[in-house]
Formats: sequence, structure tokens, C-alpha cells
Amino acid sequence: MAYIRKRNRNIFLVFMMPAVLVLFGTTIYPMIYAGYLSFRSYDLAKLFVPRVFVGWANYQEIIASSEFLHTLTVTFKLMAMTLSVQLVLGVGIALLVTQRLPGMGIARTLLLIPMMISPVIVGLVWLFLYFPELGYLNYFLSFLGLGPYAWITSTDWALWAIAIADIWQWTPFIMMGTAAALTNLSPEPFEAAKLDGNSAWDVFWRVTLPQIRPVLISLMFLRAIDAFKIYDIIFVLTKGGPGDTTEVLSMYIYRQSFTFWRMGVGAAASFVSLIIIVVLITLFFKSLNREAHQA
Amino acid sequence: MKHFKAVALASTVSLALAGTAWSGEFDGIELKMLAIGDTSVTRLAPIVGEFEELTGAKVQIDQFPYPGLIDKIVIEASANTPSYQLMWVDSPWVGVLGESGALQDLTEWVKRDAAEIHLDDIIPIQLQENTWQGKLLAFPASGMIWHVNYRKDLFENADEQAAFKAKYGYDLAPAKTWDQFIDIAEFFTRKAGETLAGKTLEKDFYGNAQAYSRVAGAITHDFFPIMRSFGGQYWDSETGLCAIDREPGLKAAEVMKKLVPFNPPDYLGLMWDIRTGYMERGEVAQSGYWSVRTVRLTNPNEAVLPTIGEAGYQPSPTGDGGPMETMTGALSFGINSKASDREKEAAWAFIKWGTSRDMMRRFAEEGNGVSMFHKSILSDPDLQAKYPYYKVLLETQETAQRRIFHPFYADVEEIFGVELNKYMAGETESAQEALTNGCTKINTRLKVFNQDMRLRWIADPKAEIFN
Amino acid sequence: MHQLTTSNKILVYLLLAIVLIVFMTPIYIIVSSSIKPTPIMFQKPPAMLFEPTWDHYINLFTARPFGKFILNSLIVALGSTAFSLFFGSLAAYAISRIRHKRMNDVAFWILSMRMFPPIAVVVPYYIIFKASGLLDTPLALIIIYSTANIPLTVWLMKGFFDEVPRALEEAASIDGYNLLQIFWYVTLPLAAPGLAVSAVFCFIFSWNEFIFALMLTGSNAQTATVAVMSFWSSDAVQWGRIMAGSFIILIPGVIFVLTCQRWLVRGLTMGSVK
Repeated sequence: MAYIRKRNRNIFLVFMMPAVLVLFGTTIYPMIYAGYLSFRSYDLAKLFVPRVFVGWANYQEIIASSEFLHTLTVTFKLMAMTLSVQLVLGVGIALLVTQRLPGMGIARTLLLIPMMISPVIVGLVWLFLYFPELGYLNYFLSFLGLGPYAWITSTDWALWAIAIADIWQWTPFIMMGTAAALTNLSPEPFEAAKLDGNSAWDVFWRVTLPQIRPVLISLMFLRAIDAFKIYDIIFVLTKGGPGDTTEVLSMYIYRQSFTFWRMGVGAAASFVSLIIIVVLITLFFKSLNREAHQA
Repeated sequence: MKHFKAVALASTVSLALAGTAWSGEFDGIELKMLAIGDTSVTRLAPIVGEFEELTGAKVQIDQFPYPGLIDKIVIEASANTPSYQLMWVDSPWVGVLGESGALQDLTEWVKRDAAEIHLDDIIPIQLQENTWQGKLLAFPASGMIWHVNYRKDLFENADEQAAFKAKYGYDLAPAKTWDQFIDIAEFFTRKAGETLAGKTLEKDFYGNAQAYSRVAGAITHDFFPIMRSFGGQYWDSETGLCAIDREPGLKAAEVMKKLVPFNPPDYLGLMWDIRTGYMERGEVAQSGYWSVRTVRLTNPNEAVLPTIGEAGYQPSPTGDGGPMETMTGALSFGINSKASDREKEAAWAFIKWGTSRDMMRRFAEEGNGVSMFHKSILSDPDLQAKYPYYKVLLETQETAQRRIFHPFYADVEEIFGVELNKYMAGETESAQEALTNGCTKINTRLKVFNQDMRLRWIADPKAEIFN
Repeated sequence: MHQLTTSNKILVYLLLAIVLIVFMTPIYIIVSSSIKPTPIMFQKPPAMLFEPTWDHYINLFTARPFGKFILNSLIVALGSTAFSLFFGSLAAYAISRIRHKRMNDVAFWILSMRMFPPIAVVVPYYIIFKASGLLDTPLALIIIYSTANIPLTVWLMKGFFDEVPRALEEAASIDGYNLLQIFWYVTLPLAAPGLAVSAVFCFIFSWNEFIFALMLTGSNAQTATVAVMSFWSSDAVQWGRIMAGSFIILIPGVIFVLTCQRWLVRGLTMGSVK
């Protein structure tokens, strides 16, 4: 590494500077500005609403409001619904497509398509399927003796309707990551386990799963971050309704900021949600580290 | 050489054409309009070229969906350099736009051009509807009334009449009270396979379709007119605070709740357009809605009623069956206060042209009129024969009250949209709880302001154009 | 791994067939509905054989300036991709080569940009762009998308740069190349696949993005994803146009899946699976 001398280090810093500066400018400044807004009453539309410093009032309002708590609950509920199904289905499909049989490559490729589609388009095509009276989903389900369900306009099913669209889009993601991990596994432990006379299920449970666990954790972690941010599909399918059954965190922030134009409250809600996700991420890495140490 | 001649000729012609375009009063002016894809605009948008021929001003109309349009207009209004000189305005928005100074006061122009625009012929409430603190901020392009459309063919069917009488003990007729309306809705709700007016139904038929969706507060657009039919008001005249949770509001919410079983199963998602769609496809017996869409029931391209053009139209039922002023509304054109003076002049010329009595008559004669607001058009016997609902429009508008115009309208619409939708979905126990929740939220926001301010916001001084 | 019995093979194929049918049906619906005449759009059972119509595509471009919206999408996606690749790969190279314990923090900070809920920053962006007159311009979107794309590029490219043998750079250095020359002539060509996959992801992200495009553009810089939503109008839902627009929007994604599937795994999982 002789060519990386002290002098060159500075050149590396020069390499890095533009990206760091751009990111700094486009993230830190808006964040500071959002922080400033969160302590103010700021109505973008109603110019007659005084724009004044209000202290912690916006934060107090959010924390005290049952609405905000409700949106948090819905967000985590949706996260649990989508992530659990995606994990089970994704791993299941990955086990299928990693069998050494002809045609698996094509199947894998085709299954990748959903996650390359814009979430808005995903929302629209599912809207088409869910569409009351006319949509095809109830028609398909009738062959299985199920339904009809009002899907997006039913308080019982609306959250599932959103979850299903999200599951459709992102199960391939878990599948793809898991399949990649499975093909990289070394064959020896399997041979040993088989020689011991274990059933296929035991082999999966005792040999495969522990080996792909780290990969699954990081895949779920990436999904969890996205699930926390979910917005587009809900915007298309239910806009938070019926009632407030699908009102997630992003919808709450959107409504405060752009429907009521209470930018201060919206900014405060953004910060509260940011704190929540930072805490969760930190906890996640802490627990990972602890496990790594134990192992 | 021949080729050269052709080119020369072509350029002469194009120069000549360009020359004619240069002759107008507003040459070189380009107007952009931030608008909706509603009949008040869709009829006009294809013929704006005619206005350019007349005046030289080029007009471009950008059409957006109703949900989110007010957001765009507000954003546009707060910009220092406007990209839209003309704005489509739903009359409840005049409060927020007026208090923010976003719209040009049209009073002087209207007074100046009173004869040209046939001011006397316009139903006064339609003008009042567009005022804020006495100033006229937008000009009506389509006048509205919330009224009920029903299936005349079914109501007049002898078998159905007999069955109705046997079941309810009174004659089947357009509902005068909400109790009757609910009876009729119940009566006509049939499953596929049952008979309706002697025919076996291939699919389910519903007694009623109303807007129950919370999206863009759609449910409030039906709820508030029903509240008015019970005599309700939005605001307390003493304090300027929310009065929606009083008895008329409760009764209206309960009427809508009682109608739920007779609505299509996706009722929680019914928006304005979906609800009218059920009526236009002939799948419901009756539906109350704003008259801007009623015209579609008379147009075979837009509605497939078995009795096209012969749907029945009636004023809104009331609580006790007695007379009660209904609510009006207006879809209007306004001018961005930040446009240049010359652009404003051109924009006013466009509004005069696009909302003129001649233009309205032309739309009506072409078979796809808007919801009218000129007395002479609404009372024209030929047009009344073609559009029977004109009678209802004329009669009810003359006594109608203004719709909400409070600067916090967007908050009212959204908050009550969610609260009412939750009640209809069964998430909230009682109508009282839903409406009290809504009022509490609105009042928290209003109490920041002193009482004088609140009372000024609900005051409705007579439009200065009438002085 | 292990050999399957014939009956197990059949089971695998059967399950896979079900999975494929379920996952491919929505795609099929987009494609078929975009060429289905409106009257039979919701016909049941679904019409499989029908005279295809191009009306929806024609309407898409005539009713609204959809061509312009696609162009906007392209400008924004290509602009942000170019911008992010340039800055991102330079930074990634530095991070990959500097041995300093703080470097991991920088890398993590850059990655954490992706965790930010977009709706949380849309308000400040909105106010800033409004004040600077960038609202409703493609540049505003290019800047914002780069905020998400630079971290992704850094993350991916760092992995690829790590794999370029240092010995090659060493040799070039001995030949008298300076650092920029080494980067440009030696390292970057070897990491070209990384550049390609980063480009694909930057492009797809920008092309598909919705919230910022919705909030920060009007009729001027509107992108195709936002425009397709507007066919959900107050008058009627124009399913044909929505599906035609959707099909056009999903073309780049499908092309990338079919051509560089191998690299997608790495990009989508941000290198957590190699």
C-alpha cells in the first residue's frame, strides 16, 4: 500500500468531499429546518395564522393525541403482518427455486419482476383487482368458495388488502436474498446431517436455517425500514380509510402538513418518528452485537 | 422553382394567419388555469381556441382531480411569481383564499360590466356564494344545489306502488321526509334473482347510494346538505365555534347510518363520482347529490338508465316534510391576485366569455350543459322540457342558503370526513361521539383566535356588487 | 444438494406453478388490460381472446401530454443517475482505500440516509425549493433523488472497489500514475459491473419514486408515475389509460431484471448478501 501515502490521503478526502457535502446539504439542512419548524406554528396556506414560536406545544400535542398513537399501532401492525408472511413465503419459495431442476433460473427471474415495479403501479393494479363489484379478486376467490369481501372499503379487510399488495411486491425480495444465501452454503453439513438419518424438515430446521439466519436478519431489517416508511400503496388504495383503519405514520404526517397545512406539527411528528426508528435501529444493532459476542 | 413558389406561398399564408392572431386585444398574453376535470371546465376546455381568435389571448387549462386540487391552489396562491393566472374555485374555498388575499376582488369589474354579463339574470345567491367579507372573489361557472334523483320508471310502476302501499301503508312517491326516504331505500333494495318492476334482476339492486368515503371529505358533501335539511348550521352565532354536533347534525348522521344497509356493499368507499355512477348505470333507486352531475342523467353518452332523460328530480327531503331552505354551492373561476394587471384584464375577459349567458345556453343546447345559474335559462320552457331538473334548480336556488365558507373549511371537511366515516363503519359508537370529536378538534384550532376574528369569519355581509 | 424423488419433483413443480401463477397474474393484468377494449375490461370470466385495441395508448398521449411526463421522468432519472454515480463512486473509492476507524462511521452515516422516512423531509424540501424557485423543476427531483442514490452507490461501489486487487494499483503507481489516473484507468474499469448495477438502481429508484414527485412538481416537471395517478379522475376511472401508463412505466424495470438479474441481488440487498 505504498502508493497510499500521507499526501494521497488528502486526495482521498477530496474524492469524498463532494458526496459528503451534497449529502450534508440535502439532509442536514432540511433536518435543521424541520427541527426549527417543529417548535413553531407554521401554516403554509392560512397566512393569517400567526407564525410564532410555540415551544414544545407541537410535540406535546402529538404525544398526547390518541390519533398519533393509533397511527403508530397501525404502522407496527402492518409491519408485523407483511414481514411475517414475507419471511415464511420468501424462504419457502427460495427453497423451491434452489432445487437443482431445469427451469428454476427462469422462475427466479420472473419472480424478480414485482419488486422492480413502482409502488404506485403496484397500488393501481391491486386497486383494479380489489375494485368493488367489478374487481377480479373476488371473482377468483369465489372459485375457492371465499368472499366476496369489500377489501379496501371494509374495516376488517382494508389493512390486509394493503398487506397483500406489499407482500406481493416484496416476497420476491426475501426469496431472492435467501436463494442467494442458500446457493452459497457449503454442502458438507448437509451430507453429515443426512447420514445421521434426519428428516428433510430437521435438516432445514437444524442445519439450513442457522446458516442463513444472519442473511435473513439483514433482509428483514431492510424490509422493516421500508415498512416503517410505507406510503405509496396506501395513498393509492385507501388513503388511510375506511375510518382510520389504515392510517399509518406517513399518512398522519402528510395529513398534518399538507391537508391541514400545520407544517410545525407535521415536522414535530417527523422527528418523533425519526427518533422511534433510530432507537429501533440502535436496539437492533446492539442485539446483533450481543449475539455475535455470545456466538 | 415550383418548389420555391410553394414554400413562398406557404410562408405567406402562415404569416397572414399569424397576422390575424395579432389583431386581438390581448395579443401575446398567455393564461394558464388551474382547474378540475368537472363539467364546469370540461365543456369549456376544448373550445378555448375560440377565445384566442376573439382576443388573441392563449388559454391553457390544466385539469386535476378534485382531491388535492385545493392544495395545489393554495400552494400557487402563496407563490410570488404565479404560474397560473386563473383558478377554478369551489365556493367553500373563498374563505381561506380570501383571508389569504389570493384572489382578485372582482367587484369593480362586475359593476362596470353589469349589463354585458346580465348580472340581473344571475340568481343572486350564486354571486353571494363567491363573496368573502362582501367582496366578490370568483365568478360562477356552474351553480349547484343538492337534490335527489330517483328512478321515475320504478316509482310509477303499478306493481311496485301496490307492494309499497301494502308494506308501508302510504303511497309510493318521491320522499318528502327522511323517514320516507329510508322506507323507499329499504323497499327497493333487492337481491339478484328477485324481481324489480316485473323483471328478474341479474345483479343486486340498491335502494340508495350516498357518498360515505372519507377521501377528500366526500361524506361531508352529502352530510352537510342533509344537516341543513334539518335546519342545521355550521357555526354558533354567539361564539363562532363549531355547532355541527347539535341536534340537526345528529339527525343527519343517523339518517345516513340508517341508509347504510340499503347502499352498495362498498359504501365506505363511495366518492361523489362512484355514487353518481351507481345512479347513472341504473343500479340504485334514488340518490341525493350535487346538481353538477345531474346533467349526465339526461345524456345517453354518460348514463345508461332504462329511461334516459326521464329520471325524476326532486328537492332534498326535510326533517318534518315542511319547507326548509337548502344549501347552494358554486363552481367558479377566480383570478390570481398576483397576476399582472394586463393578465388580470385578459383573465376577466376570459371569465366573462366562458361563463356568459350565451355560452351557457350554447352548452345546454348542445346537450351537455353545466348546472345552470341564469334565471332565464332555468325558466326557459324548451330547456326545462329537455332538462326537467332545471325546475328543481330554479325553485330551490331562489331560497337557498350559502354553503360553508370558513377559512378553516379544509380542516372541517377532512376532520368530519374521517369522524363520520368512522361512525358509518361502526368504529365510533354514536353519532354524538363522532360529531363531538370533530367539533372538539375544530374548536381547538379556532380558539387560538379571538372571538372577534371568529365572528368575522362566519359573518356574511351582502355582496358589494349589489350596492 | 440432494437428489429428489420423482414424486417430490412433481410436488416442487406444482408448488412453483402455483407461486408463478399468483405472482404473475397482476403483471398479466396490466399488460392485457392495457390493450383490452373498455366494455370488456371487467368481463367475467376474463376475456382471454379479444381484438386488441391501441386506443388506451393513443388516448394516453393525446388526452394529456404523457410524452412530456415520460421525458421528465427520463431527465430526472438519468440526471440523478449521472450525478450519483460520479460523486458516489469517488467517495466509495476513498472509503474503500482509506484505513481509518472513523471510515465505518462515515459509511454508516451515508447508509443511514436511506432509512429516513421521505415524508418527514418533504416539508422542509418543499419550503426550500419554493423559496429558491426550484419547485416544479426536474432539478429539484434530481437533487432529492441523489440524496437517496449517492448512499446506495457508495455502498455498492465500496464492495466492488474492495475486490479490485491492490497489487494492480500498486503496479500502476510504480509506473508513475497519479491517484486520479489509477482510479480512472485501473480501478474503475475493473469495477465496471458495479457501476452498471449502481446505475440500474439509481435509475429505477428515480423512475419509480412517487411522494417527492407528487409533492414537489406541478404540471411542469410532473413525472410519469404521478401522471398515471391522475387518470384516476373525479369524472371516471380510466382503467385503460392507467394500465397503458403502468405498462410503459414498468418496462425499464423488466428490462433490467431480464438483462442483469445476476447483479440485482447485490444491489437490492445493499450487499448484505453476496
